Amino acid sequence: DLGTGKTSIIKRYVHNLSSMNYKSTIGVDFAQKILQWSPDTLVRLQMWDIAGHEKFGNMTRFYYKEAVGALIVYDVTRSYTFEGVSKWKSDLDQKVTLPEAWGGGPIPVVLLANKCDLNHEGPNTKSDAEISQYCEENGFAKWFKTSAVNNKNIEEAARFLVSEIVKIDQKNDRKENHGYLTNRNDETIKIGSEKEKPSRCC
Amino acid sequence: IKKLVRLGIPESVRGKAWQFMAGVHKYRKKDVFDKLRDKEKLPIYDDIEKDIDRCYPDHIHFREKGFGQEDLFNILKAYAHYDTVVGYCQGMGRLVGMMLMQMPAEDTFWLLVATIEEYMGGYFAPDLPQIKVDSRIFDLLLFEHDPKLAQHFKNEGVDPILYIPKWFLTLFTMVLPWASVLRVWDVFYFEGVKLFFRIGLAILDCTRDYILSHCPSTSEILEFLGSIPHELLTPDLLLDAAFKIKLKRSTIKRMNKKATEKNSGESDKKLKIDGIEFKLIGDNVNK
Repeated sequence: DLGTGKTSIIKRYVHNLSSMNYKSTIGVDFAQKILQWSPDTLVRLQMWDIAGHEKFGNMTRFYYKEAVGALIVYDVTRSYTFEGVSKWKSDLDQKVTLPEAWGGGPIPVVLLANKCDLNHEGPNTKSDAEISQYCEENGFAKWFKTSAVNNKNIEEAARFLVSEIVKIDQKNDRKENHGYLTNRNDETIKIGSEKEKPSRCC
Repeated sequence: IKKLVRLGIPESVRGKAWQFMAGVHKYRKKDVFDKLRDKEKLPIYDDIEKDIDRCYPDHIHFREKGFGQEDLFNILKAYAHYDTVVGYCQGMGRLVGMMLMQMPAEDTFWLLVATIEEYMGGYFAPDLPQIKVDSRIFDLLLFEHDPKLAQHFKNEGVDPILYIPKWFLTLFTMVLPWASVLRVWDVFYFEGVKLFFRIGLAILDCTRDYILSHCPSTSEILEFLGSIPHELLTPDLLLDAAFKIKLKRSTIKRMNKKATEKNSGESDKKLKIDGIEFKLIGDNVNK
């Protein structure tokens, strides 16, 4: 949802910047990070930072196009933003699937419980066990407690999501003798986020 | 008048001139702003509040506890009551902040009302119908105006829906240097939303050479469009390019019709409440 810290997470991840002065995202913003994933694999991670405001909700099909992974972000200090998580997850599941070369199916999605530096505890705060169970039941690959301010778990979460994507790619690579991602020795991964829209590949 | 507004309105009368051209006098009612501002909290206030700090974080008046923040919040709250269909949409804060730099809060409220009623009816409505139509129109115009660039964008999957919302919904305040923004607004209140297309095409005219030589693929294009160097879009360069573009109102109208038909089912007509009465407003996009 709006103001959960999607842009801060991306700026931290891509430019290692932290600022309180980001503007609201109108529509969608873009960022790219190039990773030397392994000695022979370069990953071009294309990140689509999607506006959290619900007015932009029906534009998401344009923004999800060709995405192969996603981060969904909620704000631990405002527990009602957790309610938005299911909404965004089902929106993703409805509008985007893995490429046919990968056999289709839902894209890997990672949940980020952001602003954990604020140590917020409220009556509706979810326990770790509750979130883990929620993630398991709702098809999230994993979840992380993150803080863009303290640079906590941002790198780890992104790395995990990319590894999930690369894993799917390599599985298909073996099967079909060429990878959707790796056929050019160069992978472009587009990640989307409601929150941060991670990643697509081409 | 057309020539004069195109040359730029003097700073001292700019706010008054915008209000006059927008027809604020047709909407302004005594005490309404104060009453709406003090009405009960709406759920949308939470969203507005989250955006207040993030409208003009670089501007001293709109930073945390800057005196502009209170005005910004009050105006957006009052507007959410004034037009419950539109309520609040991101981007409106950029318009309000810009207006507040030129005039007091109550004047700003009525200019916001007139701007949305007279010019931007379908832009902030639920599901943003006009932005989708405009993105299609812009695509058609770009193909006529600069086929080479349009084809490059198309090949790379760069659809106008990816950049037009930010340009149009914020009335160019998030893409242009400040001096250019003011000049664009001067002309906007005289010429209406036709100017959106003219300026949009002019931005690409000013940057096409760079894009075609330096932005070979999607990532580079989108990153570039997200933060275009301001020196490429100074008032002289931008407005010169904009006024050279031949763009007929009838062409946009025709394309609007075509694009709207494709968009069928998403009518611009809607029932709205202004706090006092219900009324049906039509499609005044081509004002």
